[in-house]
Amino acid sequence: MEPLNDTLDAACLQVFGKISAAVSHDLKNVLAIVNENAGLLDDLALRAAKGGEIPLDRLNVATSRMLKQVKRGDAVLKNLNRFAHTTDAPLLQGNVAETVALMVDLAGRQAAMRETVITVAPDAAMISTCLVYLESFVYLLLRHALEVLPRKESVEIAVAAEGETVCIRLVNPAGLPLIQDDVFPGAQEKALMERLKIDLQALPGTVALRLPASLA
Amino acid sequence: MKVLLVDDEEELVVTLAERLSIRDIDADWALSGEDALRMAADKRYDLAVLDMKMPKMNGLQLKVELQKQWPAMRFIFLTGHGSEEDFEAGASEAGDEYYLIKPVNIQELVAKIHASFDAGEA
Repeated sequence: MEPLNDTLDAACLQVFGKISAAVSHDLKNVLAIVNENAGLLDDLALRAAKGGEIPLDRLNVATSRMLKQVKRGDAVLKNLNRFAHTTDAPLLQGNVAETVALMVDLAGRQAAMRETVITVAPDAAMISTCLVYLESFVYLLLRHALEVLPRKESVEIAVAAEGETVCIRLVNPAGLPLIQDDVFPGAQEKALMERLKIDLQALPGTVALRLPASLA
Repeated sequence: MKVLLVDDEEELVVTLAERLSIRDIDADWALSGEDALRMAADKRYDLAVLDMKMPKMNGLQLKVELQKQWPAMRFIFLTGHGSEEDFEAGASEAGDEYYLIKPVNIQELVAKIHASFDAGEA
């Protein structure tokens, strides 16, 4: 059996790889749209150089599309940057709902491909833990739930402080299973759960994670 | 020559259609496989430019469905995946169709559209 740290590292590396791939795919689309609209401006400029007229509204549409994509790309990179910085220290304090919401955003493309809507209710509950491990676990759980649920479903996530523990609850309103017992948690997820002291309870339509509010 | 562009990124496909139109290529666009099949049921397209990864129906699945209606239709695939391994894998999956990585060079796309159309007529 692999030492625990090796398995934890493998889990984080897997998550980092998947997130990087998704971000690069999103950014490729951003660049493609900017490329086409910049090319369109080029085409229109060429037409003007030959004495043709350029309708102003077409210029406005092209420029506003590019600006919109710049904002989109910036948002994607902000999320990646936030995730990357959670490796800065072994223990970090963070808002649990915001941490979960970040991982929901980073899993956004997969959710869109499955036409699944995932919402996270804001909450003030804080946690002091190895945030990158928590993020990795949440991400792996989300990816698994997206595979298990049929298309066009929804997942509602709520966070609550329960004394010295924090509860992260995922609910499918239709009561469909969110995990497949014989698959999740696998070795990597178990290693993360052990490290973070996560207690996982799965019922039809609900998964509840309970973990210490302070791992120190 | 009539071309159908299919990609779930509306701002990409709309602009690409406009740029092809400037180059005298008659191009319509759709945002999903379902929409593309509805349009192809009403109008004959010589060639379709398909995004590989779309929700519900991906480019390869859409190709199979379009070919049921129009067996002679030609295809060009677009992808956002950038590694050489992905390109090789995708090109192999696409078979003898063309395969381009986004962002696309418009001259290259136009050349491939013409080449594909000429090959189809030969």
